[in-house]
Amino acid sequence: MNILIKLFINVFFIYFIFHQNLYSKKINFHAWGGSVVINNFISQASQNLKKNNIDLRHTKITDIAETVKILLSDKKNNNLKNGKIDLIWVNGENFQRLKKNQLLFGPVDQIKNYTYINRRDASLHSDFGEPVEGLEVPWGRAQFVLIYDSQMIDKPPQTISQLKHFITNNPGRFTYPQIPNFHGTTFLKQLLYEMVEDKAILQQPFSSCLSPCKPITDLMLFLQEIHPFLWNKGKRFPKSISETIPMLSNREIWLTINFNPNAAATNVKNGNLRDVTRTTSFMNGAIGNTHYLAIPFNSSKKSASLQVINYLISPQSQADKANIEIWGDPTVLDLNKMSAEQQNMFLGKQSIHVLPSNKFPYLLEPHHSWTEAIENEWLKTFN
Amino acid sequence: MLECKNLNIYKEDIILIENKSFIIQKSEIYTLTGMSGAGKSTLLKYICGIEQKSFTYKGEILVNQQSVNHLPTNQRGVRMIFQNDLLFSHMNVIENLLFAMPLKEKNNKEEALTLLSQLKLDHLSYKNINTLSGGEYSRICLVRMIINKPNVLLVDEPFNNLDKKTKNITKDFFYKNISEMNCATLIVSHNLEDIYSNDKIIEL
Amino acid sequence: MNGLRHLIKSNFSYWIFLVLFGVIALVIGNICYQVISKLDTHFFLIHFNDLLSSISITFFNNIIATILAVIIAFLITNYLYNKKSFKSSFLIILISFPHISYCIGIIYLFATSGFFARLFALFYGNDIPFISERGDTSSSLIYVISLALREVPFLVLIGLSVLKKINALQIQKQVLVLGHSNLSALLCCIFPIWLKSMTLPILIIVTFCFSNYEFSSILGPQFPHMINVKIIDSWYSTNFNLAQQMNSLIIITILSSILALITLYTLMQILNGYLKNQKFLGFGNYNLFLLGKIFYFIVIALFMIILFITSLLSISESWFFPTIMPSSFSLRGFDYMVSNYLWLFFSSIFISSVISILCLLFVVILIETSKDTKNIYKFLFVISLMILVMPQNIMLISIANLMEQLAFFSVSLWFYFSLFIYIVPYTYFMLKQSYDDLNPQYIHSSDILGITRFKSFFLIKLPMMFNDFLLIFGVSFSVCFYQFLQGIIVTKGERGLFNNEVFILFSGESIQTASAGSMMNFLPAALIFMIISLRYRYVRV
Repeated sequence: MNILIKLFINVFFIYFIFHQNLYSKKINFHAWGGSVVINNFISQASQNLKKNNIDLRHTKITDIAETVKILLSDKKNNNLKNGKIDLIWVNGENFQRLKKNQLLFGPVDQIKNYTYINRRDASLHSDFGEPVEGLEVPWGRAQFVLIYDSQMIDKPPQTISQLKHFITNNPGRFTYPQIPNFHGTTFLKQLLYEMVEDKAILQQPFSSCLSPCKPITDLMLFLQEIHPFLWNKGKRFPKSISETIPMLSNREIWLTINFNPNAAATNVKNGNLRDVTRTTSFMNGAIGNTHYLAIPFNSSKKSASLQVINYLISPQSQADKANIEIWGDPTVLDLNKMSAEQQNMFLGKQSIHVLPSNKFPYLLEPHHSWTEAIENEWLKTFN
Repeated sequence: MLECKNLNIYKEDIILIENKSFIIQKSEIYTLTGMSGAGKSTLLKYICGIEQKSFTYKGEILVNQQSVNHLPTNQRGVRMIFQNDLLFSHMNVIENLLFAMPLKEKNNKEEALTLLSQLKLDHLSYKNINTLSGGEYSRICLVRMIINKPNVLLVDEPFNNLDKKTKNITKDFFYKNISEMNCATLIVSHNLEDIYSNDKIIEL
Repeated sequence: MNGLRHLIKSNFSYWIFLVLFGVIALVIGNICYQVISKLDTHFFLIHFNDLLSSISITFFNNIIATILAVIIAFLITNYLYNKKSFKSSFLIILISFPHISYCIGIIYLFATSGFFARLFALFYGNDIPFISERGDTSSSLIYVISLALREVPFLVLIGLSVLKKINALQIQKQVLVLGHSNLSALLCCIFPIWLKSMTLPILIIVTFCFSNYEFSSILGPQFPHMINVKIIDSWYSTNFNLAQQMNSLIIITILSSILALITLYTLMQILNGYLKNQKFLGFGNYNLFLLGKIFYFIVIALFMIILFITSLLSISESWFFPTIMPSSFSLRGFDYMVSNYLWLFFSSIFISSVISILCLLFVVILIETSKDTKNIYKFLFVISLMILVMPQNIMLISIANLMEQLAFFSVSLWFYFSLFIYIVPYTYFMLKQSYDDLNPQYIHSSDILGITRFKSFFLIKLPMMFNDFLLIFGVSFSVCFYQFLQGIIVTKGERGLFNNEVFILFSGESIQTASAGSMMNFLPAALIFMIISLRYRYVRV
């Protein structure tokens, strides 16, 4: 009996040590962990990466701001080489903070599969108006969409005036996430695009807008008009767009916003939304943005992290990501740069739930300074 | 007036008290004596309306010729001083006394202080009851019952915690006040020294 | 063995206490230093002005929730104490209910597409939910009532042993023989004495009210948000204005919490003074049992319905309004949780168990190795008070700052420390109650017989207090297991408990998976409390 126990212990230790050495490159990937489909995708990617002797560990965080704080603290304590975080999923204001404080390693765009990305595509190389400058690699696209219940809405709104008409005639059936939620703010930016005559003004810093800034004032007036007709009469908002999905499925609301053109399809497939859910957007253009992968300045496994990024922007991985059966996140790759075989991977099942492609022009995110301006004005007006 | 008719108390088929009857008129003082475990305290509690689960009770209790068996303790017109009487810890001495004053009367602090001074306890008026000695505690309990002005009073071993000198003073105070109140009183004691000469005795 | 005896003989406990006191003082001192050194008075005054409505709504909501919780808990405690039935044990199991599941459950019950609305739709026949009109007033009401009812099981658990300790039955009899009614006994005597002994649990409730995030963000008002939410939002925010507010919010939270404690204490004194002199209560012969019974069943029913809804959500597919039951079922959610989080689930159970046991051992050793237990109780009380008065979110921000400065300790150590420190007050308070309940005659007799303290503990105290130790372990375990702010503020996502993952999943699109996680989350503490309640059924009330 004693011999058996000793044997078991030895085998266990050998396996444990061997198993540890099997994947000598452990990559700690900080990414939001609230979505089951995204978690599953990353988990599958991790399995695939094991062939390359890489152990991708997904640290599921509530908000990337936590990661920014860790890196700031590392820099403050002069931890320049032994950072625990090797890869982050980031965009927007958090990227700006990281860039401003020199917390990112770069350039990261020299990897092999970057050849599939169109370097001239400004939408991929400007993150909320902030030039990427090789500090992050585009991973997926987002575009403002409206998801609606087609049994409740015959003709969905596709302009701001149609939206206002819908809201006022169907009180309580629309809402948006509470500011300063990232998606809520982007919805307001979308409305701003609809309201300004010269869209170029939004690409300039907010400081160039004379005080009082007319677009912002007009936006607040518009919101004041529609708020009494929103869900809960504008007195209560959902905290995120994810919260609006069950509300839409239960017909508490009939129309909601999202930033994944395939969100409706994925959610219908997973049973979270009714089959009658459809997607549309604003005819004059819908804000698009990109989300990215970046490597912290003090990661001790930069080359392995680059390998991971290279894998994640490979045609196969991007095709899996775009597949509505898996995640449904649009690709950042230029299909024209691929072979026919590679292009075929992206011809997934057509779905009536997705946003019809090429019908809604892509609008660039406004300059990042507009974000804070809009948030502050909203908080001042409604808080 | 307190009248008890055919009182029977059993504890699990053991007869503790059998067919006991007595009448106590206004101003009369009776002493209930008996061996330890005879059921003296149990009898008092039954009269008062505090029934214990392990006992079986039979018999009628009348206060001022009205049957009170069906009434809750506080509506019987019977008051009792327990062997381990309890003062309320969140009130000081004077507050405990004021709480005990008859419900239909207004709180009269002067009366409470007068009674305390009769027992030379007025210096304890505003003290926390946790600071009282055993003897002071017992005497305050007695004062509390006096201030309650009962018509029928049951007392269980009132002078146990007191030394001889204090006991005599307290006894005098107690008997003086209950006589003045014309109270029908039943005292439990197994100490013959505590019995006054004109007390009537009920033996168990 | 000899070392242990030596330990018992020396003043080892004082050294341990000094170290613990030093660490906590460092944590509190650090936050004070950070806040004060970086405080811009001008900014603070501006922020204070802007935050006035938020401060007042937080203050009043939390005070009212606490008062309501205490009143309901007292009524239920009074009912259960007099009934002497096993029902009290059943209520104890409800302590194991996770906060986040409870909050989400409340939403799912009362939303216009929620469970009650679906039951209504069965009769009314509406296919579409009514328009939701929930504003801040109704949100505050929901927040107050939900939070109050959530705290009731904990208060009842402590309250029952307090009633026993103060000998409530004897007090009641005493009042009755003075000619007062049951109502007078209850309100003029038992309630004030009970309330006095419940100071520390009430303190725990108050500080929880001011530091909780789940209730205030999910159920609380939004215009404005409560301070509890603003502080976490400013922690996360990249918006300069919001991030700037954090120092001001820390000071405001601490001051509000202290002010709330002073207000409640003053109210308690006023109430005490008022009730002592009341004669009119002496006339009504009501014992409030019925009210207690009604509240008891309301609390049980609420928790059971929420549990039922959560369990249905965890296995349902396509459960849309107005259907009462899901149209199809699957275990996809559980499958996902088991595949991805099983290791974290078990390691969280392990960590929470070890920390709870260590905390219990720590406090017991401090008490048992001290020559002067009275002073040790005072010291432990001071430490617990220091930990409790500072709202948890503030304490964690301080620990996170300390962690940055003292970078030579690992993140894991700070994580465990932040969990450990949070359960010290619960452990101390319940252990003190247990020691107080112990008949001192046993210990005096053992001293007279020459039995050493060491043997006395293992042969006399431990067997008698074993059920209490189990209960303390259960409460500490559930408090520890359901923490998640540590994983956000201290470790910033690097380390966390299973509850962190459940919390993150509730912000995602799959309510089925999040509910499955919630059900798993509920299991360990529920099992522990079930075992405890079975033991208590035959031992206590």
